[in-house]
Amino acid sequence: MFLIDAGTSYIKTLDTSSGEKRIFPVTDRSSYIELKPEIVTGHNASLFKGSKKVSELVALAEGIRTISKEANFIVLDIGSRDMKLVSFYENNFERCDWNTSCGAMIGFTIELMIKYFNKELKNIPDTDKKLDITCGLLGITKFFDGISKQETIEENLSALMNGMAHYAWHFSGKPDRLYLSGGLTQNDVFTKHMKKLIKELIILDRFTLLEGLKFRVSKGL
Amino acid sequence: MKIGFTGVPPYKIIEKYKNLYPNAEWTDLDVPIRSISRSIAVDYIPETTCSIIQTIISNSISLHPDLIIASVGKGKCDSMSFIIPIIRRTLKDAKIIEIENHEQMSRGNPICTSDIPLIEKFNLITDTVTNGPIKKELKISKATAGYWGVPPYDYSLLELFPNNTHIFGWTRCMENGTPNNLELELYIDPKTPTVFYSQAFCAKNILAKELAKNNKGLYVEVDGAIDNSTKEKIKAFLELNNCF
Repeated sequence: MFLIDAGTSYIKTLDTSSGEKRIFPVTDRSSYIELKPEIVTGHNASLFKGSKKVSELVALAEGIRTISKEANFIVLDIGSRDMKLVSFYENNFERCDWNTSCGAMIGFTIELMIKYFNKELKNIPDTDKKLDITCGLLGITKFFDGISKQETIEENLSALMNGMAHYAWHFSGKPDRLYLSGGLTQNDVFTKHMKKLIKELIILDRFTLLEGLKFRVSKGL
Repeated sequence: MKIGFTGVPPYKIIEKYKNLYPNAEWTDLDVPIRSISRSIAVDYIPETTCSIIQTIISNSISLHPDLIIASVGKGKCDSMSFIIPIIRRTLKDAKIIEIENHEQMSRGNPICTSDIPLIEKFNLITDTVTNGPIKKELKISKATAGYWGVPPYDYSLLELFPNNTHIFGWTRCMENGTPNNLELELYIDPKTPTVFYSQAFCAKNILAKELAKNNKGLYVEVDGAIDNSTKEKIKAFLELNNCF
C-alpha cells in the first residue's frame, strides 16, 4: 500500500510492501503530483484527490503509539508550518494541541534564513543568546535587528533557533522528557538547543505520521 | 420600528419594548449578517478588537436601528461600554439604552444538555433572549463532548461536534438567563472532553486557556471565520477522545 504525508514543504511517501521511504520537496511538484496514495495526511493532503484523508494529529497520535510502548509520554512534531503535540497518560490519550498561528512557520523560517544567507548548519555556532519570538515572522524581525548591531549572522541564526527551541519547549508544557518528531529533527543546531532545555530528548525522524497511516492500514481503519 | 440589542439584556426590558412596539423588527446585533461586512468597523475601532464587537459596530451602522438595547457591565464586556459613544456619535437619532443584567434567578439549561445538533442548540439559546425560556420539551443527552464559550462568530465550527455535545461557559449563562454569573460560566464537567473556545482579542481567553489546561481540554482562539487548520485540530481532538 502507498501512503503519503503531504507536508507544507516536503512530501514524504511510504510504500508498505517494500518499506521504501522517499522525500520530495513541494517545489518539485511534477515528481509527486501524479502519485496515487491510498491514504494521505498533511497540510497538502488535498492535492491527492480520491485518497482517504486522515487528520495530522490523529496520524501523529497513532504513529507514536507504534513507536513508543511507554505508558506516559509526550511527543512534539515540528514541521515547516506548525507544531503538533500529543500526550499519553497511563496508556491512554491525554491531550493534544496544534499550533497553527503563534509559533507558526518555525521550520520554514529556519530553512529560509539558512538558504537566504547561504550558510551551512555545521558552521552555525552554539550560543546562549536567544531571540524571544512567538512566530517565524517575529523571529526574522529580531534577527535583522541583531545583525544590524554588527553581530555575526551565524550567531544570530543560532539565537533564532534557540528562541524557537524555547518556544517549542514552552508549547510542550516544559517537560523533562520529550519525543521530538518532524523535519526539525534533522537540524542539529535546533536539537542541541532543545537538549539544553529538556533532560531527555528522544529524537525520532520525519516519518512518524506515516507510521500512523501504516497502523491504520494494519487495523483496517 | 427597528430594535437592535446586544448581549443578554434583562428580559423585563425586552418585554417592555415588545409590548410598546408589537410590530417592531428585532435584530441581535452580535450576530453576523451575510450582507454586512465586518470590515466597516475598522474605520471606527482597532482591528485588534474581537469579531463580535466589530460585528456590533458594523451591524449598527448598516442597519441603523431606531432603538438599541445595549447590554453593558459584567454580563457583557468592557468593549461594549467603550463602543457606545461611537455608536451614539454615528447614529445621532437612534435611542440607545445602556443596561446591566444582574438577574440571578436560574432558568435552567434544557437546551445545553439536549441531544439536538449543536447549531440548533445555539439558535434556540439565542432565541431565548427575546422569546424567553424554551417551552417545548427536549430530550436530555449523555454528554460525549463539551463546548465551552460564547456563541462563535463562525457557526460552521459547530458542525464539527456530535449531537451529544453539552454547552458550557457563557452560552450556558445565556440560556440560564444569568449572563453575569461567573460561577456558572466556570462550571464544566471534568469527565467530558471539552473544546474551550474564545474569540481572539477577548478577555475570556484567560478563562478558556486556564480551564483547558486544568481539564485536558482543547483551547481554541479564533478571529473571525474559522480556518481549516483549526477545524482539523478540533476534529482530531474529538476523534482521539472517542466523542463520536
